[in-house]
Amino acid sequence: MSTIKECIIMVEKKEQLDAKDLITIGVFSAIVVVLIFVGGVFFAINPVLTFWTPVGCALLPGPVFLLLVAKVRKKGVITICGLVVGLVTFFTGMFWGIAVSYVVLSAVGDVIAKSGEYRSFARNAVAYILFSLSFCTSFIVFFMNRSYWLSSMMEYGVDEAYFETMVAAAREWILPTMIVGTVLSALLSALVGKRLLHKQFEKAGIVSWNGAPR
Amino acid sequence: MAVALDPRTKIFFLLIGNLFIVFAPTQTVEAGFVMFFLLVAVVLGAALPVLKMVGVYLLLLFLQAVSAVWVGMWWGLMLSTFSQFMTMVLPYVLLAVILVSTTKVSEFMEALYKLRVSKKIVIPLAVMIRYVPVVSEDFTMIKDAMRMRGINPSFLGFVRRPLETIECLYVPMLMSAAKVVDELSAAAVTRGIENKARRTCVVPMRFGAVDYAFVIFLVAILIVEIALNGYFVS
Repeated sequence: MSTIKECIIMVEKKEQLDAKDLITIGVFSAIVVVLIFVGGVFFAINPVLTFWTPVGCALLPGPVFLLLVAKVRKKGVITICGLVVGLVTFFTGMFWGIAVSYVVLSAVGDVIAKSGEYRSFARNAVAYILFSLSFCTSFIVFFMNRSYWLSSMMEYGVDEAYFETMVAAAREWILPTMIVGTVLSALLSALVGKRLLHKQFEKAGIVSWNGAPR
Repeated sequence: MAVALDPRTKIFFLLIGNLFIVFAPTQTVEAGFVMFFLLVAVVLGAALPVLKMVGVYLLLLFLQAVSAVWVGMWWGLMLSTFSQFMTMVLPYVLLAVILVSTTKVSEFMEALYKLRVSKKIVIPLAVMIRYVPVVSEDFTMIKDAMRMRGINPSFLGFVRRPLETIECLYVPMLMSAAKVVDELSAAAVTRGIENKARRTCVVPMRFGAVDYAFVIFLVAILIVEIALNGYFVS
């Protein structure tokens, strides 16, 4: 039994991403994009909750991400997914750093997931957490260059005192909390994804956790 | 009569349009650029969807101006930041809509291949652009189906029975995605997507005089904008 498994792993190792894999990445990235926006938009439009946008964005796409990895399981799958999602965020007017960090962090996540042959849940989950952390970049920049951010906000006619008090009160703890929150939310999403994968998609024959994809 | 631009010119327009908005010193200039985008969209033959979005944009600008009065109140602040966020994002989405609604997927792919982008990026990107509207369509249908089965798809239902609601949302969505992948890849392989030979396109793709003129015009606008930026800031 184990030799068969090894054989399957060896055969898969040689394979490059073929057309079907690329189409799979496209379809699942579309769902990931929609879920990122669904999760994030509620936070992004609110001044007090805006710092929690990455947390909201991380909450929903986990199961989709894990299913994508389980279906493709070839080198580059996470990188390409991150690249495509990053391009969408760039062209919908997000800060360009988000797109860059999507590419960089997904590439790192890809290496980590690859080290487990895309079969280890823990490593795939780490890859997903890295993927989700990309959204924090814009806030990290905001915190580093706060005066620029404030002046651009005041230009829009927003009450100066409100933002000053908000930023002054928030700056000490909100950045680490945001990052930790994003990690936890991504982890939760990945755990739900693991449960779904085991309970539903293995039974339906969409993926198998140990053997070859279908 | 719509002017047919080379898809590469449209991609360039998307990129440089992003820069226009990024460098826009005031919101008035930004609104001016949005009007310019509308003009381009009309010329390219995508008037209707873009006109709707510009309408929404103007409404949001109005909302922003009005709600600034009540910014001390919490709901005024909510309204103000909401309209701000939307007016910030909308011009970029507008540009993407112009590209997507005036370019066929096959033309878009051909343009990217001509720009020497790898197949590994072109195929997922093209599939994704095509599939995003389907996801939101599926989502409404799934919600209807959930209501029929007596499961509340709203946030309240999620709080009451989190795991069941999650399953009922994700499982149909991902199952249908898996099915779409099978169908789409069967169709694509039949049409020779795995063929190693150079891809051809029925629509002739040439950079014409109009394209050159448009690109030069856009670059000129950007240069003028950046040159005048200091004047606006001071």
